[in-house]
Amino acid sequence: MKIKDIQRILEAEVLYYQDEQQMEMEIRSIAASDLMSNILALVRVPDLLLTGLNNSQVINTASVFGIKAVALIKNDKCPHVDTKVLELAKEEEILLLLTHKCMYESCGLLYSNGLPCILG
Amino acid sequence: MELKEIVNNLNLDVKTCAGNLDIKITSGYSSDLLSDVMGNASTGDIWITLQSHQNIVAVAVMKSLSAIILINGKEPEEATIKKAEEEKVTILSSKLPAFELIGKLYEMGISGSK
Amino acid sequence: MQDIDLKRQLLLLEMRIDDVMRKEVITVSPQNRMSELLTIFKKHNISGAPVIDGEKLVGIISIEDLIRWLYEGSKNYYVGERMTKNPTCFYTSQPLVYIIKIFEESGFGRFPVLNKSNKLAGIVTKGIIIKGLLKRLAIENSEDEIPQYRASHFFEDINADYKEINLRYNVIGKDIENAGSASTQIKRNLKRLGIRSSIIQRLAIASYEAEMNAVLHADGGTMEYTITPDQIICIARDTGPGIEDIEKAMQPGFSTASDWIRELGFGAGMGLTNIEKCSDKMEIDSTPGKGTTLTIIIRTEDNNGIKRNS
Repeated sequence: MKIKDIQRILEAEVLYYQDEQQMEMEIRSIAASDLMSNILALVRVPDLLLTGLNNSQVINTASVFGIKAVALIKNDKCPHVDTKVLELAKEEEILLLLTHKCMYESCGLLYSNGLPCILG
Repeated sequence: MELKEIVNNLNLDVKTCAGNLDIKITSGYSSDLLSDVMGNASTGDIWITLQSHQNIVAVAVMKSLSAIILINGKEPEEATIKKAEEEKVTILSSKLPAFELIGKLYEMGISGSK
Repeated sequence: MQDIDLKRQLLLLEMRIDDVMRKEVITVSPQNRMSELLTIFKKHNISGAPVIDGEKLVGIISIEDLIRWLYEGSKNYYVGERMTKNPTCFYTSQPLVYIIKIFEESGFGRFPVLNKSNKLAGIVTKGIIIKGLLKRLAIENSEDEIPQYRASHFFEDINADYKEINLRYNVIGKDIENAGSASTQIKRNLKRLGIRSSIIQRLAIASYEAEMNAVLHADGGTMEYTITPDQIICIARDTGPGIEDIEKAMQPGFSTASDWIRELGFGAGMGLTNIEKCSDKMEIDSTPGKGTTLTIIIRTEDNNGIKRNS
């Protein structure tokens, strides 16, 4: 599945992408977690990080671990994305999506659309 | 769907309140951030999380959640088990990661939080 | 002066050869006679030149070669017969830090610089590098410190540094917004040094977890990195509460995190476990009430990235 398919399924906003080619990125594995140490403890690097956490540590975690794309889950607590998060994503060239669906719904939709999972 | 059925289908370990598996489950919520669960989960949701410290029990009670499933084979802490038994909160544990567990629940008809 | 030292070290990592190299290069042909060389060198006020055959770099010839030729009786030789063949070359995209090492080891005074398609793009000498570094330092520091820093010492100091690059960052406690910046910066710098990405990833993860500990559990501290040809040492120092029971703290899942920390996505009790997993060696020195020093060692392979023409 391509990242642009995921964007469509999650009806996500694209907050940052480097170029059209990056939107063609193939996503074979997803890690869904709000705990960054849990991500960093994974044996394999996922293609996409799906998280409800919304601070600069999301991008730092993706950066140090080598994750190329992040989808943020929008919730009431963080109705908008911190500018620092956007800045960092740009700096680290990490594709950034924002979905209004909750974590449960997002995972459920992607799983039933055939993304086989694997991680986190 | 009865919790029992979910336990059997997904091969979950029952950690607390084993006698309380007849409850009906219709919706789920997943988050590791307690404030998020406090703000956004709905009554009756089954809660999928990696958090295992005792505060999850308090959150489940306050939000009247139906049960908690810990993921990645995470074991609840001792204090958590004790508190959960006191407060009659069912805690289950799955070897699966969040994405896969939620995917399977979703396919079984457990929808997202209303 | 310490700021300047740090700045200079960072510059060595950040600047590439094409940031400083001289692009206008006087070249000679292998068919030039040795007798013509003196005139060419004098005219352009240079002490050496790359030798180009068509578009291909075939050698380098210097004033030393010329002197030797004169000493041996000024016979009717061509440059092609007296030049140093297949000289060591650099590539435009290599970080400056590589050159320093090779200058020191080889004793040569100048190196040709090639572009991606192996064509001559420029030349570097010690003088050119010093000039480039000083220029950049002057741009980034308007203070009066720069002139005081004697250019003649510049190269000696750099030579001492290349064996061991030291970087140090301050970490501010409870500053969640900027937390992690030391680790992402060191990651970037290691990339510039051409260190293997699997090594960088391990160091970055260990460093990041250690940095987050200093931010979240303590009131900040410092992150120090020492990069040598065979290992990277990361030392995280904080003046926080210290660890009561190190053995217990090492258990996966054990955490003393507050709700505040958990809400920030940390405190799952995996930090030290992750660090240990990523390191070749990890040491914790902690005094309750005083602070914690965490030493992480990751071994690398010596990889100077130099390609020789053949």
